[in-house]
Amino acid sequence: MRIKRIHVDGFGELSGWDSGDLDGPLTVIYGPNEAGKSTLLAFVRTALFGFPDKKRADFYPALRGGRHGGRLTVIDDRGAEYLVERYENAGGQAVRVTGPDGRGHDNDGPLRVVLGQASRPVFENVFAFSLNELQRLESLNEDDVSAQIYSAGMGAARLPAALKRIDADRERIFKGGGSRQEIAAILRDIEEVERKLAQTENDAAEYGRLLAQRKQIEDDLAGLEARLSDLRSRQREIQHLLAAWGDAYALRECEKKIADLPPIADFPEDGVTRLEEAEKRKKEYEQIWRDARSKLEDAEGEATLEIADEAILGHATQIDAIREGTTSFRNSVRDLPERQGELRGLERDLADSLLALGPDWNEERLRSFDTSIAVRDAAEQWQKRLDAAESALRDARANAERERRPLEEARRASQEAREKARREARPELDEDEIGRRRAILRESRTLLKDYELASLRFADQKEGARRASPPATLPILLAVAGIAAAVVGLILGRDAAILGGVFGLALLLASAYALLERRRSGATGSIPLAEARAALERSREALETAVAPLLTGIPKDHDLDAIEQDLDRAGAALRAWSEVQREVEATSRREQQCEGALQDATERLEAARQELDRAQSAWAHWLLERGLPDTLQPGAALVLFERVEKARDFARDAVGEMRRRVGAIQKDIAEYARLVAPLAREFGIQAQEDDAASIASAAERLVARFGAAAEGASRRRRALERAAEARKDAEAAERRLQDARAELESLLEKGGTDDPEEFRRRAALYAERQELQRQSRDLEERLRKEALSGGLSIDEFCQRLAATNEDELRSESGALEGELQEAEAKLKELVEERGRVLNSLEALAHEERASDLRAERELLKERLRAHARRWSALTTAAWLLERARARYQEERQPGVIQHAQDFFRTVTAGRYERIVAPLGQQQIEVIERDGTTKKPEQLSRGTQEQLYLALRFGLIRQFGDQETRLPVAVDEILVNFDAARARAAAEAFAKLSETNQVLVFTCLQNMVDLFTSVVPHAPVITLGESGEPPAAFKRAARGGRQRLL
Amino acid sequence: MSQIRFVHAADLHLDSQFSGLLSHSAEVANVLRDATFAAYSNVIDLCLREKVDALLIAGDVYDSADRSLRAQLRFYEGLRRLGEAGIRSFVCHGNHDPLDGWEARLTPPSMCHRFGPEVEAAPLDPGDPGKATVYGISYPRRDVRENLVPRFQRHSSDGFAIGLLHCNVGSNTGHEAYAPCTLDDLRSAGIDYWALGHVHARQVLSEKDPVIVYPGNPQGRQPNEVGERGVYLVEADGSGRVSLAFHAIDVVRWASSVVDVTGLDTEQDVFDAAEDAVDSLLAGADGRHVVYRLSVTGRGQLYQSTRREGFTSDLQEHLNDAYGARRPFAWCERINVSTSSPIDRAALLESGDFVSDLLRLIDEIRDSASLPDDLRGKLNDLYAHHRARKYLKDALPENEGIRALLDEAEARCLDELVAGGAP
Repeated sequence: MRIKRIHVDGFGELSGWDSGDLDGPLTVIYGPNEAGKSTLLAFVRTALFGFPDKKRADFYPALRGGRHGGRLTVIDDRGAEYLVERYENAGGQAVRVTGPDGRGHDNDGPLRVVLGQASRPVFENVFAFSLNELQRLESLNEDDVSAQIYSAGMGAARLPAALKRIDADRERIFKGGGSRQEIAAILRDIEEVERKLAQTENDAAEYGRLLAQRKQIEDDLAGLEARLSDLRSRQREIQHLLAAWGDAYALRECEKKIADLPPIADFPEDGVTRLEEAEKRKKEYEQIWRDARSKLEDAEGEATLEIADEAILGHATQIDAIREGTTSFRNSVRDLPERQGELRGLERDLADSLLALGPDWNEERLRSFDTSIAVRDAAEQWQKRLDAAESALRDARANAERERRPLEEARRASQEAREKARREARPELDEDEIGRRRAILRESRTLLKDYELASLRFADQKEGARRASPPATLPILLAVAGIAAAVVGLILGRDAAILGGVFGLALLLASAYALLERRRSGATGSIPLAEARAALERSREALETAVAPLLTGIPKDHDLDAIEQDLDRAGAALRAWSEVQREVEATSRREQQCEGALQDATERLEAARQELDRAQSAWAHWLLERGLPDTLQPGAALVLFERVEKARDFARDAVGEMRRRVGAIQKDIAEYARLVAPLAREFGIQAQEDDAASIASAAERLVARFGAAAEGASRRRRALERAAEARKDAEAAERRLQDARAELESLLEKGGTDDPEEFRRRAALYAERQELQRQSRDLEERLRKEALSGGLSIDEFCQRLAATNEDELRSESGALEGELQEAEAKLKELVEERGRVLNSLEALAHEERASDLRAERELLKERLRAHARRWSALTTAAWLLERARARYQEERQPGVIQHAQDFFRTVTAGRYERIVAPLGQQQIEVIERDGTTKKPEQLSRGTQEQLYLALRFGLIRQFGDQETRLPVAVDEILVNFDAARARAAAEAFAKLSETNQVLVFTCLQNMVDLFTSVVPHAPVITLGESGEPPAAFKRAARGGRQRLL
Repeated sequence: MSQIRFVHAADLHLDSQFSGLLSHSAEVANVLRDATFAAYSNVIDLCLREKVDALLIAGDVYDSADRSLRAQLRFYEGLRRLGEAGIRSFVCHGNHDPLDGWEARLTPPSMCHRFGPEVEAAPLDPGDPGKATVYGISYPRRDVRENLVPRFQRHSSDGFAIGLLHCNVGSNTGHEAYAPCTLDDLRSAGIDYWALGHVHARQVLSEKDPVIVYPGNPQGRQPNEVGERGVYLVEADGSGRVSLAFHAIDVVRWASSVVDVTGLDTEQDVFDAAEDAVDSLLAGADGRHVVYRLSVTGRGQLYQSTRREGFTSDLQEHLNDAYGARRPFAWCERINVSTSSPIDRAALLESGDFVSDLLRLIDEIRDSASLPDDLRGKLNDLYAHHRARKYLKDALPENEGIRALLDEAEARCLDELVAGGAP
C-alpha cells in the first residue's frame, strides 16, 4: 500500500494543507522544529486508524480552524485507489472510504483489507516511528506487535504464556519443598491416617489378653457359686430350726397341762352363760309378780273415797256460762267509766263547732240546714257571674286606654304630610304631554335614519360617477419600464439585451391590457344619481315636519338625545309630586279611623260598669232568703256550707256512736248479775245483784266448787280401771315364774349337780382342757410346715431340734452370714469384671475404625497417584515445549531476525554477524564477528538504535512477505548514527523504498541532503513558513518538483 | 468310593480395602468396607445351602499386614457356623497370611483343619477316612520362593486326593511368583483335584487328570478385577469324575465402560450416553452393586467441552447423584477423558512451524518407548520425593504409561498453542 495524497482540513497547527501527489518511492518532508512534522505523521495515523482517545498525546484538535480531520488517498498493492475521509464532529467521528468502484462505505472495513489487517500499534511501532520510539525498547514489546509478527513468522506466539500457565498448573499440584500444593495436602492426610492406623494395631493382642482374662474370671465364678450354694443351704436349715424352736417348747408345755387336768367327759354347751340367764329370768318374774300385787291393792283403796258438793255437778251448763262470761263481765265493769268520760268530751267539741258557725246555730238547725249540691252550685254560679262582670269592666277600661295612643300618632303623621305637600310645587308638564313629546321623538329618530341612509346613497352615487373616469397612470408607467428594460439590456450586452428586451415587451403588453380594462368599467353612472337626490329631498322634508313641535331645522342625533333627557327629567319630577299627594291622603284616613276606635271603647266601658251593679244586688237578695248575712261574698258562703256539713257529720257519727256503746256495756253487766246471783244463793254463797264486786266473787267461788267436785269423780273412775288391769298382770307373772324355776333345775341336772356354784367350777375345768388341746394342734401344724419348707419330715426335724440348742444355732448362723456376704461381694465384683471384659471384646471384634482408615488410605493413595499423573503430564508438556523451543531456535531463525540481521550487518559494515532472538521471548542478543555475544544494553547508544532499526526493518520486511507492504514513515531516526552508518542506513531505506513507500521526516538539512543523495529524484516537501526557502529547495528543484504550500 | 461335594475358595482377603478408588460416598464406603465380609458370608451360606462335605480355602484369607482382628474373628465365626452344621473346613495360608504373620491368638473352631508349615494329610471325613483326603501346606513366612508341589506325597489308601495350595503356576500370571510351580509339576503329583489359590482371576488350568483350578478371589477389590467373582462347587462321583460349578458370590462388582464422543453434539449427549452405559453395567451385574470407571474417548467437536475444567466432576456428580443412592448402587469412582481434538495432526506435522517441530519431538520419544533422562529426572522430583515415594512406588510411567503421558502432554500443548483447534 502507498499513500498517494494527504489533505488536512484541520489538525493541530495544520489547516487546509495538501501534499499534492506523492508519487516517488521516497519522499523527504522537511521542516524546522514545530513546523508540523509530528502533526502530519499523527494525521496519517489518524486517517488510517481513527481518532485516538482525546486524552492521548497524539490527539490534535484543529487549532487553526478548518473541519477537524481530512482526506487520505491510498493505493493498494494491486494499484486500486481508495479515498479515506475521516472527520470528527459533535456526534463522534465519521469515516467514509470510497473504493475504486466509486462505492462509498461508512466504515473502514475496506481500509483494513488494504492495510493487511495491521493494527494501529503495529503501524505506529513498526511502520511509523520516531527517534523516541526507536530509543525505547518497550515500544517493541507491545503484545499485539509481537503476536502479529511472531504468529505470522513462527506459530509460537503463545509459547511464553502457555509455559507460564502450565507451570502455574504444575505448581498448584506439586512443588518440591512446597507445603500448600495439592499433593502436599494429600501426603499430610495419608500420614495422619497411617498414624491413626498404628494406634489400632494393638487391638488383637488386647483381644487375646481379654480372652484369657475372661476364662479365668469364669473359672473363679464357678467355684465361688458352688461355695455360695452350700453356705446358703446350711443357713436356710439353721433358720428353719431357729424359727421352730419356740413352737416346739410350747407344745411340750401344752401336753403336760392336759395330763394334769381331771377328766370331765361331757358338759352342756355354754353351761355357765345358760345358768346365769336362767337365774336372771327367775329373779325378774318374781319382781314382776310382786309389783302387780301392790298395784291392785292401791287401786282398790282409791275407788272407795267420798266426793264434796256432788250436787253441783248437775248445774254443769250454768257453771260453764258463768265461767265463760267472767272475763267479759270484768272488762265491762272496768271500761264503763272511761267510755262515759269520752262521750262527754265529744259533746263539748260539738258545742264549740256550733258556736263557730254563728250565735243562732244548734244541733237542730244543723240537721235541717240545706247544703245540697244544688244550693252550692247556685253559690258557685253567683261567684262566676260577679267575677265575669268585674273582669269585663277591667278589660273595657284597659281597651279605652290603649286606643288613645294610635290616635295621637296618626294625628302627628297627618300634620307632617300636609306640611310636606305645602312645600312641594306642582310640575310643569303632565303625563300626557310627556307621552306626546316622546312619540314625536321616536318618529323623528326613524326619519333621521332614513334621511341619513338617503344621504349616503346619494353620496355613493355621486362617488360612482366620479370613479368611472380615472387617470391612465399605471399602464403608462408599465410601458415606460418596459422600454427602459429593453434599453438597459442593449447597454449591458448581448445576453442582457435579450433578457431586457423580453422583460420590456412583457411590461408593454401589461400596460396595454390595463388601459383596455379601464375603458370597460367606466361606462355606467348618471341615472341613479338623480333618483338618489330626489329620495334625499323627500326624507329631509318628512324629518323637518315631524320634528317641528320640538325644534326647527334638521335635527342631529345629539339634539334628539338632549330632548329625550329633558323628557326623562320631567317624568321623574311628576312622579315625585304624585307620591307626596298620595301620602297626605293616606295619613288623614288613618287619623279618622283612630278617632272612631276610641269612641267605641268608651261606650263598652260604661256598659260593663252597669252589669256589675245588677249582679251584686241580686246576690244580696239570695243570701237574705237563706237567713245568711247579705254582706257575705259567694266564696265565704261556700266555706260556711262546708263547715255546716262537717259539724253535722261529727254530731251524727262520733257523738251518736259513743252514746250507743255506753248503753250496751250497762246492759251486759246487768244480765251477768242475773245469771250468777240465784245459783250462788242456792249453794249458800252471798251475792248482791247490783254489786259488781260481790257478783264477781260469787261467780268465782261457784266455778271453784264445781271444779273440785268434777275432779273427785274422775279420780274414782280411773282407780277402778287400774284395779282390773293389775289383777290381770299378777296372774300372768305367776305363770312365768313357775316356768323359769323348772328350766333352772333342768340345767343344773345336765351339769351333773344341783348346785349352781358346783356347776360353775365344773364348767371352768372343761373349758381349760378344750383350749390346751387346740393350742397343741396349732403348734404341731406349724412345726410340720417349718420342717416341710426345710425339706425334712416332721420326725427328722424334731430329731434335729432335739440334738441342738438355740444358742448354738444362733452363733453358727451369724458366722455363716459373714461368710455369705463376703462371697457375694466377691461374686459381684467378678461379674462386673466379666462384663467389662465382654464389652471390650465385643468392641474390639466390631471395631470398624481400622477398616475405615485403611479404605481412606487407599483412597488417598489413589488420589496421590492421580495427581502425580496429572503433574507428570504437565511436567512433560512443559519439558516438551522447552525442548522444542531450544531445537527450533537452534535449527531455524525466524525471517524477522534474518532480515534484521542482514540490515544490521550492512549498517555496521559487518562488525556484527548475527542477531539471536530466543523463541517467544522479547530478548535479543547480537553476536560479533569474533563470536562474542552481547545484549542490547551492552551496545553503544547509536548501535542500539541501529539494532532496533534493524529489527524494525526485519519486521517490515517480514510483514511485507506475509501480509502487505505498508508505507514507512520515519522521523529523525538517523541523528545518532555516524556518517558512515547513517549513509548505510539511508541506502538501506533507499533499497526498502523499492518495495515500500518511504516518508522521511526531518528538520536537519544534512538529512535532506543525505536522502536526496541516495535517492536522486526524491521529492522534498517543505513544511512551515514560506519565507526563505531551505538549501535543499534548489537542489531538489533540479530533479523533483518544488511545491511551496 | 462314594460321592463327595465341597466348595473351593481362595484369596478371601477379608477386611482388605478397595484400592484404586478416587472417590466414594459415605454409604458406598460402608458397603465397600464390608464387601469382603459379605462375600465370605455368601460362601458360608452357599456351603450350608448345598450341604457340602467341606469348605476348602487356598490361602490369603486375610492380609496379615492389615492386622485386622475383625477379619480373623469373622473368619472363624463363619467356620463355626459350618462346624455347627457338620461341615468341615480346611484352610491353608499364603503369602498374605503366612504362619509367622500377625494374628490374633484365636482358637480355630472345631471341624476346622488349619494346615501347618509342612504338608499334612487330613481325611475329608474322619468317620470315613478312605473316602477322600485333603493334603495341604501353609506358608511359614511370606516370601516362599520354593516350589512346594514336590512335597505333596499321596498315599494310595486315601481315596480322592485333594491338594490345597497357594502358589503361582507358570510364570506370567501377573502375580508375584510365590511358591512357583509348573502345570507338569501339578500333573505328576498324583493329586486328583488341585485346589489352588493366589491368582485372582478364576481359571481352570486343567479339566481332568488332575483337575487344576484357581477360583479367583470372591470379591474384586481393585479396578482391574472386573467381572463376576466367586467360588467353585466341586462334586466328585464314585469313580473320581469331577464336575465344577462356578458360583458368583461377590457383592460389589467392578466394571469399566467407555463413552465415545465421536459424532456427539452436546454435553447432554455425553451425559445421556454415560447413563446408558451405567444402565447396561447395572443390568449385567445381576442385582449387585457396581463400582465402575468411565473412559470418555473419541475425536470430535466435543473435545473442548470434555477437556474443560470441571467436566469430569460434573459428569461424575451427575452419575453418582443418579445412581449412587440406589440399591444396588452404581458408583462412578473415576472418569478418564482421552478425547482428541479435531485438529488435523498430520497437517500440523507438515506445517513446518514450531508446532510441527514439537509434534515431531513427541513422536521421537513415543517411538523410543522410554523417557529421556532429563525428563525422568524432573519427574523424579515427585516420584522420588522422600515422603511421596513409598505411596508412588512403581507409579513412574513406563511402557503404555509413557504413551498415555505423552498423549496427555501433547493434548495440553496443542490446547495452548493452537487455539480453537485450528492450526
